[in-house]
Amino acid sequence: MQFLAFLFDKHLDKTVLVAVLVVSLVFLNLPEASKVNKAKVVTSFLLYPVNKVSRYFASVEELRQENTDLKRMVATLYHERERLLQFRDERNRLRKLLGFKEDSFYRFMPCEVIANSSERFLHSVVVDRGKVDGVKVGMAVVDYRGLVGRVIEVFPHSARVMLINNKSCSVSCIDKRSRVVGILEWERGNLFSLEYVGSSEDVRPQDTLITSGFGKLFPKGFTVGTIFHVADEKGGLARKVSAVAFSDLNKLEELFIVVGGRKWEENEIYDELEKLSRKKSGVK
Amino acid sequence: MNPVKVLVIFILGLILQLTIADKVAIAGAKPDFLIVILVALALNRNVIAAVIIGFSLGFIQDLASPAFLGMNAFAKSLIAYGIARIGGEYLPHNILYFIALIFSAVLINDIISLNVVYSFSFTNVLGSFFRYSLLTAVYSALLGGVLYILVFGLGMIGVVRQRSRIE
Repeated sequence: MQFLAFLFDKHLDKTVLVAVLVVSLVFLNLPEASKVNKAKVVTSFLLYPVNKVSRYFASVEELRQENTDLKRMVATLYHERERLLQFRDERNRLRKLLGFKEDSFYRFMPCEVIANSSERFLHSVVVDRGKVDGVKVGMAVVDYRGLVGRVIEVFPHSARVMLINNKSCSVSCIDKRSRVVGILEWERGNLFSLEYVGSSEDVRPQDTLITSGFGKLFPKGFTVGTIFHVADEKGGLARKVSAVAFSDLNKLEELFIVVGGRKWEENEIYDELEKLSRKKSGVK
Repeated sequence: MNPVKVLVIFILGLILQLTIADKVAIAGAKPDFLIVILVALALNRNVIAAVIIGFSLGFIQDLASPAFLGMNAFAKSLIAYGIARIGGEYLPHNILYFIALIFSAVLINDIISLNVVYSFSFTNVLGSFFRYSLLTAVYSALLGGVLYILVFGLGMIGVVRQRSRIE
């Protein structure tokens, strides 16, 4: 009792110090795995807000870096755009000289897939845009990688899109490098075959296929897929060309309906970008 | 100051240490926000409270890097004891002593930590001490001085006034 009184009455401060030092030393001498496990249990509760805030600051840093990179990219794109505008004007002048019809590029309407078809070979999806949004039968549908299909049915607020991996859908394609034309037909999964390619035609693995615009079913110039295998059929006149689609047709989520063309002179996107950058720099 | 406020200050200190310290490092020396907080909290407290604060602060710091669990708790308990003993009884309460206390506290903390990390290898301890600890101590002490001016200069915390009233 006297000893306890000595410890806790007369030297309480020193006793507390010795106690915490002993506890610290015990922790320090625990096996490492045990220390880490114990700490993990405590930190998951205690340090959760700290980690959360640390991560927030780290993400702010990343965003700042990303912002700098994007600014650099925008500057490069503006420069590139000026160059392209000069090419555009030159191209238009030359087309006029040659008497070509004016061509256009496309306007996209974003949409989301709200349902998939249940049939195994007649693949289609339903998207959340319909008649009220201006969607019409026959419009092409793409995702950010390439062609996906075309609208076959339109409802007031939705539309059914027949995918290119549908047995009844064929796409006229051109080899982007050699300009060889063929008809792309679905085989299985994401794999397609390019039909009607002659045995002497120049097609190679890694070549990109784009829509040809022939037949007016799909607009011209959209990427569709890439060739991965070319084989000559024995004694045949045609080559067996296998291709894979760029878009993962089984995992479609955000799509774009090609709602029409717009003239090269209409620089809506660039104008908006310019407006934004002026607004930011305070120039009216 | 109630325990919740102390815990909030701990967590703020830890957030500062984990997020900002690396970004404001000079020649590899990072300011030790936790030591600054420890000195500020231990200075106007009785010894037992100071030791408990030191141990808790060190232990929370250890939890963030558990390979040497107990090391910071040990070092900071000792430092808190020393500050509460010496600072409370013998030192006048002004900015120079506050800076000197932080400087010494960082050095003591580093001597203990380096010895644990390098298993008492004299050469390694000495090398790291001269390479990082001295600069860290100077950096933390100056930071403490700035904080002292900000806090007491703006009268946000009445530690000095409270102490002078007690005296």
